[in-house]
Amino acid sequence: MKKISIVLGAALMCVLMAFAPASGDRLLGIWQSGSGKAGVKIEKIGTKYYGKIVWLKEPIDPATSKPKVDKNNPDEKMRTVPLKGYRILKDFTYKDNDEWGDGTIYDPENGSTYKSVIKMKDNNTLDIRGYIGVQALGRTDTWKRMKLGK
Amino acid sequence: MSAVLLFSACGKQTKDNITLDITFKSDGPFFESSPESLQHQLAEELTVFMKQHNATEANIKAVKLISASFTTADSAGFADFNSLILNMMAGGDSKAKEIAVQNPLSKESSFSAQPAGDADLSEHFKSKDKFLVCDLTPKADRESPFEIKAKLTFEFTFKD
Repeated sequence: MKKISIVLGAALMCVLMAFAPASGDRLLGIWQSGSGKAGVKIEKIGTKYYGKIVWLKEPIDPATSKPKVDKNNPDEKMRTVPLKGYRILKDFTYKDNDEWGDGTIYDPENGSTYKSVIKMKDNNTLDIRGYIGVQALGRTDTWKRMKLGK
Repeated sequence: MSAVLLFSACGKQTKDNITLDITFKSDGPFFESSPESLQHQLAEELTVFMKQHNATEANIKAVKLISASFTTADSAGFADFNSLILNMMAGGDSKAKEIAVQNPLSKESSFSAQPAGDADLSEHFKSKDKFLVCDLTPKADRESPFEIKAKLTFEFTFKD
């Protein structure tokens, strides 16, 4: 009886593992930035993870009464590109221990790009750290997984 | 394809262009709140070109996009979308790069986009895992599929 239980348990584990997302893929989904101003959809292309803005709390620029554009981009020809749809997280690879690194994060509010690491605190919470040079010189923002319909 | 041979103190370099015909396709639907990324993984397209130059990835010194044109047979042209950003992404240490941008899009069924002149894509093309990703931002929800045919010309510089 004990043998049967062990075999059944092992089989159940195999089934669960087969249907569970790969560890790195737990990052996939739509996340709300700490300020609550933007929703970012993280997707996987090849073996890396990327995130683009899919939701804005205030999608219209009050100065122009038109959809917000990436007006602070250092590349002049990108300054008329809609902010919604812009890819702000790039090139993250899964490391281990719920951490993704080697990526960059773009801040549309100042047009700057920073090196970045992501740490998943729990299934619905991310700490995203942007930094210049070494990780100690940076800022961490906490993002929450967005629920459908928000 | 016309090859240009350049000689320098560092050894022989060869430049040549390759034009890739790429189809980006999405079956839809498109949601206004969810900009769409149409992907194409480059695999066999470069095989013949590399063989012609008797080159491997290690011989790639520089690559840049020199022209990009896009066509759709959709009856609305590109009018259902705000903008198009063509990106190149690859494995390894390479970083994603925006290589062509067209904004705004219009009801025209074809256009040429301005390539990002300074983007060196050699690390991308050295990678076995390389993607062209076309970001489209829909103006509104759209149920029907959308297909783009892109003609992309890259200039390769090979080294011995």
